[in-house]
Amino acid sequence: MVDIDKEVLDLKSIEKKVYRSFFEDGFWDIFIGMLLLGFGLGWTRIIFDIMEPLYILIISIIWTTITFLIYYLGKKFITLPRIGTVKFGQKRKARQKKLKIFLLINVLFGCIVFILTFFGLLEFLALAGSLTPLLIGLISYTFPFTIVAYFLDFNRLYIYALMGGFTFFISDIIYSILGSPLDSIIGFGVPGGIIVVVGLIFFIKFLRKYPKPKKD
Amino acid sequence: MAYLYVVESADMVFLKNQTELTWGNLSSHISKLEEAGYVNVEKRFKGKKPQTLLHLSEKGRNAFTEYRKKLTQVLGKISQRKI
Repeated sequence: MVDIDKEVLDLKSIEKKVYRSFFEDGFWDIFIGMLLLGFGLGWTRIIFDIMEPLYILIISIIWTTITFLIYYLGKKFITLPRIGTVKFGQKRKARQKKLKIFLLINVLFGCIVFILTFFGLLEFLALAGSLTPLLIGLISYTFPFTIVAYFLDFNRLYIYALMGGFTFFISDIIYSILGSPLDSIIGFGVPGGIIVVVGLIFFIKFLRKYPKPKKD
Repeated sequence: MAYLYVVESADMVFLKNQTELTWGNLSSHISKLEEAGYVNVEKRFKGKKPQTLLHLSEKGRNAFTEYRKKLTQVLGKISQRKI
């Protein structure tokens, strides 16, 4: 029997090409890179005279808000006017719905872990050497972003998920050699910076490929 | 038609980017498809800017499915003859 989808006008690859054009703008890369950079901002506390937990909370909120704003405003005012508007079919919508459910569960899980850690209830899980940061990285970063990459059908995100997951481990090793703040600056700054630069390259290519339309 | 077939709806800017046609060329294609009843054209405003939204009608979707079936049959016959 002839598979029409594969034999004549490969509609699946057309749909995939159309869908993936939304990742050409590099905003996802910039978003992920900036989130990673945010993990390594704790060292900036030396500039301000604020107690550590409060400072980290404030800087995390400010940095994450800036990251989300860049993503949201960039998509709204730069990407969409250039690339145009499209509504995808039911399969994509179902995937996005599953992704939202997963993210919600992930946030809830994160909140529970944060509360348990805050009250010192997870100390019994501490492993020897650098295994704890490795485990934290893989569970809190690699696993969720791999799932997000799958649902978004966004291949670069698999690499970023791996890179991000290992930064905690690498940062811990750098700490034992070079101490603080170089552990954060190198451990999170280098991979985060690389991802942001990749995003910016995609962004520049995107601006060249999709100039602002003069007419609709 | 193929681009509109794989999505629910798209605007002219999106189709122009994907097909790499000129505005004039794309408009004339869309007009012909609209006349045939294959494409529904909805003109609206997004903020202060006009937007032309397009989606395949039921008739258009069926016609495209039929076209692909026929094309598959033709290609199938050609490949059988080659063997």
